[in-house]
Amino acid sequence: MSWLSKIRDFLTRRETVISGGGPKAIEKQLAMGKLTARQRITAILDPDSFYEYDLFVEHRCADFGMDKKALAGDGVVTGTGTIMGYPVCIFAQDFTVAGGSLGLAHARKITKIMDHAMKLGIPLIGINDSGGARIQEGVNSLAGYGEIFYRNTLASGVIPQISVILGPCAGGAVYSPALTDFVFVVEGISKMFITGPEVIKTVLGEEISMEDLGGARVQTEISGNAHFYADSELECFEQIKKLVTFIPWNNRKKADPYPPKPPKPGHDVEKIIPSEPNRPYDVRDVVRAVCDDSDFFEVQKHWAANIVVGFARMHGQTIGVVANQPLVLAGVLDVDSSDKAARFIRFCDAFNIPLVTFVDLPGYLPGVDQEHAGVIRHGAKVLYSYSEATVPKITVILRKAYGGGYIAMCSRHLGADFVFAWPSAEIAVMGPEGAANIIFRAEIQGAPDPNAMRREKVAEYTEKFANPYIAAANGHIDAVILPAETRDFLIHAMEISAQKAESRPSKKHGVPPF
Amino acid sequence: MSDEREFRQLELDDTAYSTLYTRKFAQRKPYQPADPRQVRTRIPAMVVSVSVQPGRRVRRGEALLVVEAMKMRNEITAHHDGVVARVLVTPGQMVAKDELLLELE
Repeated sequence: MSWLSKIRDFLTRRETVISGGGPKAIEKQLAMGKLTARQRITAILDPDSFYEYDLFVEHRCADFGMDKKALAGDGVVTGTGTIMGYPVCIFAQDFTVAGGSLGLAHARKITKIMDHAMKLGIPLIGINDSGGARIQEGVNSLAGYGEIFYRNTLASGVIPQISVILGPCAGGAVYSPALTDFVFVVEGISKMFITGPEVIKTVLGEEISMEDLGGARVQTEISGNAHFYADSELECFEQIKKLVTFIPWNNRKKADPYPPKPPKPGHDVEKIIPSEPNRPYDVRDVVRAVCDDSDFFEVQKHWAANIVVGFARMHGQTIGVVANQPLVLAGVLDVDSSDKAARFIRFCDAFNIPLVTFVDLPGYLPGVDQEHAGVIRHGAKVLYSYSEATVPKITVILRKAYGGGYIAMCSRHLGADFVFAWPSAEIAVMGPEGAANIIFRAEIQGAPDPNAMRREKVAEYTEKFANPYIAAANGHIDAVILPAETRDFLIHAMEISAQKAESRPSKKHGVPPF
Repeated sequence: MSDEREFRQLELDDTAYSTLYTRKFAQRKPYQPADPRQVRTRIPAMVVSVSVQPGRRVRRGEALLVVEAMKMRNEITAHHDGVVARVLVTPGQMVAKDELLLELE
């Protein structure tokens, strides 16, 4: 073969693989409102930054006529590129090739790019769009999944792992995204479940649509399996790009600083909190009033909204924000909000992101359903993850910090480096009404006018205990600060904690209350 | 996403807080203690056989009926001694989750 014909031969081979499942299958994919695997990668990565590998990988399956079937790239596209200049490893399952089904060669392309990401210390992005295991390959297909899960687990806490669900992701396949740090879903396109509607109908007789069982809304609002919800693939890609700018490449690095920016005008921290402790407000307004450019990037916005978690910047440095949300369920801790906070705290600690906690909660949510769902175990995750975290931990008590909730929300006692409290803070064992009713029960019941006596005793308790000064007198908080001073105190606390190096007793790993 | 923005009351330690409910919280079911006289299915299933009739005295641990679910046949036994008051299902019948199968007196 001449030089030129070798080149031509190569170009033909490459063209064949890049055309994926062919024009008909691509047309079908687009008709479903979905982009193709390569279009997705190109849209997420910086222009012209994608380099593809393992184009000519082929499966070895000879059963069921598979030896006569060539599957372009074995149904998955893998490579490296950059997002906003940050290097990433990426793979995208190609639904146009045998429904994106996962065989051993397909899985080995994925594990290879995962191994790259680990060795190079850069984030991994996986785009899932697959009908599931390639049945013809039998147990080899299962082996492929297992090898992926194993690497997801080893990579956890070493490199950030992002999963993007852009099609079906069913059965065992969902466990890869579940093991990663952030799961992105898109309305009408993402479908995640362990057992699908068909199986549920035959086995259990329950009828449900794919969308209602495991669509994007269900996974973001009900199950909490997904972290980011978008109306379109393009909106989803913008969210991924934004996330990548907030997090470091790996656990040996810190997130890249950005040019510092003041909060946007119109965010007045003095005017957010109502004076009555039982009135609601949106705690995100407090975050926006103190963080750079008033830019707060919320994680799991739609699930367990009684706690708010997400990323922001303070004087250019990434912080992880955890805040009780009085707007929803009075900001209580419960099973779901504890889970949400604990997972986020562990991500931040693993990736050197300082934690800033804003506290305003009346305590834990009472209820039979909560107790039976194991709120003891789930609530303990918050204590565990805050105590375990060695990144700078800064706490601002805005208003209520009662009882067990006060301890859990990164109190001094769980190792907070700095605890600040606004003058509106009420740091006490419980709210004045509840406390007065218990402490002064006899006086109230024995009074000629019990209601008047109750009001008097509640006022007495409020005056004496519903403030930050008893905690301050005991050194449990470091400073009572004006709301307007919050940003300065936070920036200073972060700056002087920049070299913080706290060690923990040597162990293989802890045993958190999973 | 859905957001009803309707402020409700949540009472904790004698204080009523004005706040939004999550959908999950708004839809929670009040707790109902289990009635030991009632025998119910835990999951949707098919009734395979019924081995008792009304009026029959049964002892704790005695088989009452067999249901099939998830490709497994499960023998449902009496939780305590008693007399069968009513049998509400027949073999071959599909039953939903938590459906009442049988009542003891």
